[in-house]
Amino acid sequence: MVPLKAVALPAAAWVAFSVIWLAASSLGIPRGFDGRTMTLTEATAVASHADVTRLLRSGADPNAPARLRAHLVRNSETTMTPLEAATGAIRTGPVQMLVDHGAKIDETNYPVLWCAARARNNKDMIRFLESQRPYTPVIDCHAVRPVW
Amino acid sequence: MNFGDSIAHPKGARRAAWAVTVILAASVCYSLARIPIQVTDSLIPLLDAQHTRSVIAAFGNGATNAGYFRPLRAAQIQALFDLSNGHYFAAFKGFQATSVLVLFALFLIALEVDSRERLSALLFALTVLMGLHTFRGTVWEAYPVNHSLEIVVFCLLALVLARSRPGKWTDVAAALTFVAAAFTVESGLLVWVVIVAAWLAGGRGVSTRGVAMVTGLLAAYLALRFGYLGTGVPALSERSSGFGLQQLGPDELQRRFGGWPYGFYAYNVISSMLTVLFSEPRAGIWTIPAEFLRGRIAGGTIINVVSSTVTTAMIGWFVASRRRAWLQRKFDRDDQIVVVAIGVIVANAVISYGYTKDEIMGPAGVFYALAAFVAIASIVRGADLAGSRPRIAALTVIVAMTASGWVVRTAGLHYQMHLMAFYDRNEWVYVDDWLATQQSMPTAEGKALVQQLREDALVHMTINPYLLSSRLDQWFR
Repeated sequence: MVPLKAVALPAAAWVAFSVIWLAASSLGIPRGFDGRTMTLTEATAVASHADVTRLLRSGADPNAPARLRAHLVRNSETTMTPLEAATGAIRTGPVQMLVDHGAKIDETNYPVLWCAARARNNKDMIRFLESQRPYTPVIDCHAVRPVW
Repeated sequence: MNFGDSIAHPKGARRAAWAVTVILAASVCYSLARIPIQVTDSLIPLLDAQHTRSVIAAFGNGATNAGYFRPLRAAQIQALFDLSNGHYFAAFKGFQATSVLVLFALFLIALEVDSRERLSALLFALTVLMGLHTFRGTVWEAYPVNHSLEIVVFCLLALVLARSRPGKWTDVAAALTFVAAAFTVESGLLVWVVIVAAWLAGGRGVSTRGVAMVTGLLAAYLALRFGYLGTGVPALSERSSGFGLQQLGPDELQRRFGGWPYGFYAYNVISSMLTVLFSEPRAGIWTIPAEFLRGRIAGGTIINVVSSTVTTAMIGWFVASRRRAWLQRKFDRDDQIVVVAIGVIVANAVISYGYTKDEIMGPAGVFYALAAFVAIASIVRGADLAGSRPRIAALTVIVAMTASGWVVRTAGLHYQMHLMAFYDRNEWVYVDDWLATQQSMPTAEGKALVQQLREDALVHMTINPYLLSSRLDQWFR
């Protein structure tokens, strides 16, 4: 006869976890994993088009540097603009939406974004930046402020 | 009396069984409530409902679609739309969540948990139910009414009726269940399979006359659909389908199999059966070789295949141990469950011949979980399980590891449902572009409906799976 515990314990542990999870959720905990605490930079990094829409509508500045929590793109927490975060994202974020809402791509930040996208080999972002390229001379990435 | 003593009694075991079932059902409903109404599959039916005059008109429309006969599905969408009074999310998600609760309740009722051993087996079976990949598609999607979920509920109801106290009203209820299921979607015909398989295994809740009545209704359905209404079957060129290591589009399917589709159909039937029993292939695609060719087999894929294979082996062991009794037509209450489960798995695969998709094997997956309950309950009881202590110890380790694997898969259900919520919310951002690709031009009233649903989706907060960890998708496949 196989002991009951071998059969039941893993699932019983899951039931206990479910009780805690449901109770915590009913109290709005944890807030950190949903969109409520997300910055525009973070929403862009995880390609959350819905949260980017919501944040832009509520007045978030698409050019302002904001917190990018650890492990989304880098291992440690940092601060950067939404477009900078988009260069390091795995999924192509809503970059066109940011530009449509006033995110600037000009001579000042273009080299930074382009070099950052190249450093991450983010081909979608490179393609997007090429389509938005302002007049810039040849870019030397060694002389540009690194994002990564 | 402590908890251990309490569940040793039938009443205590029953109470504990209801408690864990309700908790796990509630957790599924919670994740379900995070998912907004979908753009794809849901928006066009809702816009159609806006123009349809009545539930009866919707019923008529659903009966005359080329390739499909789903009048009750269309009628349900219309009824919920009309009754929602503008609270579409609450109405449709509320209906879906209610279906989930009913499914879990019927699952428990069918298993008759009245002892500590059966309570342990129930815990295992509930994780099989939720963890199997076919359940995911069955539970999360909505069109905007989730008819896959409804068919599972109808099949479980048929099983409960077939094993209940016989009587005229039980026969009537079985007939009504069949009609409701068959008029909802084609896989509703599985209700007939459940009733007949249970009858063959000695379940006499539905009498011989009742079985004859349901069989007559099946014949009438076939005559109505293929004879009177002339509703055909979906063509090969209507959908994509997995084949081998890749997904083939409708044009490619037509090119490869248009001349002689029977080999493709056989592949789909076998794939559908195997996916329930071994979690391979997935939607017709063999994931282990496909992932191997991409350079890495995901941990989640291994957990899925191993947990399913061991569970199937346990069911196989149970069937082998009961073979003689079955040949003598001796079936106890647990035998009936396994016989019906085998019937449903085979029949579900056969009616899914046209294409492969995990969610269309939803009923088979749920009945597989019922069969897993019987097998594990038998192992826990130690029935026909002679062996040395090392052998029992090894079996204990295997069972514990398999149970843990199913718990990981259950966690994966919630992860995947939140991932779906994330993608569905994003779809609403570009809903106007999507409507344009569908060549749908909503009226002013329709545009207001789209805007309302879009707002509902955007303000709906969901746990973002990518904020948890980017590595989880390797484990939750």
